Amino acid sequence: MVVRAVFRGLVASCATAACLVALEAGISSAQQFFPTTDAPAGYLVFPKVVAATKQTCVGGTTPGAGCVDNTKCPGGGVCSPAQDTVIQITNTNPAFGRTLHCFYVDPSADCRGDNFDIPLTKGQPFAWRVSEGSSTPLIAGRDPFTGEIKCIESNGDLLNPVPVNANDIVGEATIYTVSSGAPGSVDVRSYNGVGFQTQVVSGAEPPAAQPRRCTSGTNAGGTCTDDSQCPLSQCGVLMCLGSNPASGAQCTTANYPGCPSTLILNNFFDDAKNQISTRLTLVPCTEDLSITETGGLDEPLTSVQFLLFNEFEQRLSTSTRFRCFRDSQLSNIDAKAGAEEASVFNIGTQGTLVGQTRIRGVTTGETNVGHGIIGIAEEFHGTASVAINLNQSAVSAGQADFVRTP
Amino acid sequence: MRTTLRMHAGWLGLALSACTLIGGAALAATTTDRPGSILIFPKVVTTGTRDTVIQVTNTGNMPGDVRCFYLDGQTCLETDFDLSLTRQQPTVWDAQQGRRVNPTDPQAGLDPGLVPPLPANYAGALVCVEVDTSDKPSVRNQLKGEATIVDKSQGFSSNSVGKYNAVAVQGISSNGDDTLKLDGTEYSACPASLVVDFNGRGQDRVIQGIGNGGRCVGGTNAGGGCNSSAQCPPAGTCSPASGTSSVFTRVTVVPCNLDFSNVTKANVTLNLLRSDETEVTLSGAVPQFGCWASFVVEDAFGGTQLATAYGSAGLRSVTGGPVVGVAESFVADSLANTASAAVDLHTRGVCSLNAGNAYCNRDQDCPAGSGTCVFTQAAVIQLPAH
Repeated sequence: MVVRAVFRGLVASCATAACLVALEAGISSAQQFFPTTDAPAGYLVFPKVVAATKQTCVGGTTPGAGCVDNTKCPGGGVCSPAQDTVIQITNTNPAFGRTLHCFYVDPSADCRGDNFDIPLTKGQPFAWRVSEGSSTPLIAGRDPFTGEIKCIESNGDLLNPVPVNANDIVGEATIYTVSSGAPGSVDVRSYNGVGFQTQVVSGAEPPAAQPRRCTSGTNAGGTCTDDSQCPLSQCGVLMCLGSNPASGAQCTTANYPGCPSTLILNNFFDDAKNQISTRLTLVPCTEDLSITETGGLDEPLTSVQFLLFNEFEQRLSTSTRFRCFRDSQLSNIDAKAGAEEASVFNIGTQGTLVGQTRIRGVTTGETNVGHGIIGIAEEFHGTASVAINLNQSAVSAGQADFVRTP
Repeated sequence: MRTTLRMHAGWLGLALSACTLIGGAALAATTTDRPGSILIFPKVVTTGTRDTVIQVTNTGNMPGDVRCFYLDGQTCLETDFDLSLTRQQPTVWDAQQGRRVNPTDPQAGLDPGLVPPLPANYAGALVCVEVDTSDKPSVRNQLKGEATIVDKSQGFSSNSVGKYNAVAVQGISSNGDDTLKLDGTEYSACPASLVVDFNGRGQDRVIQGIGNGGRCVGGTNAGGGCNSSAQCPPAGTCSPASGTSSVFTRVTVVPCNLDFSNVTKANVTLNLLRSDETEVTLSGAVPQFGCWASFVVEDAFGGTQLATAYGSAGLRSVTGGPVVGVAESFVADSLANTASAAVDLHTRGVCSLNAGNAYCNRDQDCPAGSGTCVFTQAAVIQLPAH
């Protein structure tokens, strides 16, 4: 009993003083050398954002007509539920305000980016509905919209925003699917924004801005102070995700970690339990947000390999290509609509309930595009759904992607 | 399977483990992004109509053995079982049903081992540890896991379903003994603090806007769900008075100091600091708990409502060592249609010399005299001898 009492006391004291000493001796670096969904970062990506608040009839005698509930869709039609996404972003810095330079990236317009800025005070959370936007700060509403949002921790210069060497931002996206009237429905799913931490953290306040680089041309990637140093190009913002040491590469030094070489998805095979399906959204790490005109195909075309393992250790593979944004039910990656039963992602093919899917962007000999990809998965259980961040394996060594902003 | 009941023999072990908090090599904290050697599922429930589906996958090219421990959040007792996974093998089980070793049962796939069913009204955590063929802890960082919390009140397709990634602790250099040091040398350490972005308890803005935020008063649709008076013809009004939407966020945490050998409680106390969208802050606390806690965010602040729709809270253990956790948001419309969403928590640093609510992302964020910014805190998981 005496011994027990002594050590109970030890536990109590440890919980205060000793543990603080331990904290002091603790690890003083939080930098991640791979993208992260659970730590503050300087560059944040929400791979899937949807808004479609106008409900329309599906089927019946008035397909496509506006509706508020099924009674407005005669002939057995169904009033489609409305969708909206809440983006919540927090400046986790407890002492200093930060500004975010963000972009809506619209796949229906060649992935052009429309930008806006969000100033945040210290520790401030901020949220907005994508369909509504916000008046303070001014964010345009987007409805309908399916695409992504990218936010960069910037120097706060609204005319010439430049990324800063700081990692303070976390965020979540919550996608609502709801219908009003009787019987009504509610469904929500959330995922964390995918963060990229700056590889150099500034000790200054405000944090040091990253050097400007020539965004293309013969001196692409070279640091610069004005356009005269960038033949056939401009001196602007070129964020390097990873580094490529090859001669002529524009990203020989990294600002942020490279993209993972493989994404890992643990999924139910489609039609499991007769009602589960998974939707996968992939976006490229390379993004040219300086594109201003439509009709261009400047976004890289990335080949994606899928390697699937079922519960029998059996392995199958398939592949696809995408540019800019890919949002698809798993079974429609390799099978057309209506033929999902023939897909390698279907339980009828695999025979087991769950599988492991390893997703890899295929690297090429290109020095300026690493073909890295990130994404999220959504799992639909009948009318209910979840969203989940993908896991990742090692970062592709010697490969670099870039983000170019106006 | 074994259930351990030795409640009083573990103070020595826990005392030593809790105090042997030594900073090690610069290595990141736990992760929800990559596979690891230890998986922690902070929330596994079979309460009421809810059940949890667990997925564990061996992401490596070598077969792997796993020791798993259910941790009862009320009693802190453990129930353990073993898994054997072939290379790259995924597996799944329903917590309330478990999984038998029966190649002829309807669930196809290689049965990974006998997974015991959990009783009804169970609320706790699950911890799985990578071991070698002789059941000694090993470091391969091959394990990945997810938990899907399902409300079966309307069958498996009920609207209320949430999924989160298990917290992975990456192995560095295990010595093979049953004392797993999460200290940055044997395994990665636990986060020094957590961040939860949450919905303030109250009406849900999105449902108010496009779902059933209220009910019709008057008109031919009286009592029906609505979000505008146009849905209440001919002259009714849409009102929240007789039914409204709701939302709240529940946080669940489990200590990193876990003693499955002696079933000793970590006795954790949490401090919280929240901010709303207008930069108004408020301190809160979660009273001491043994090995598992689940609470609505506002309850940690004496029930004080958030003044804005959204908030963010820092969460830090002040006794009993670090914790990991998960958040779940629950929403409902005026007709009681419900849904939930789960999300992993973020991590953040704390100022080393400040036991209160001094959070940080770098040294410069710490006020004068409050030390440097540290991101991890050591802990120990003690396994029972196999």
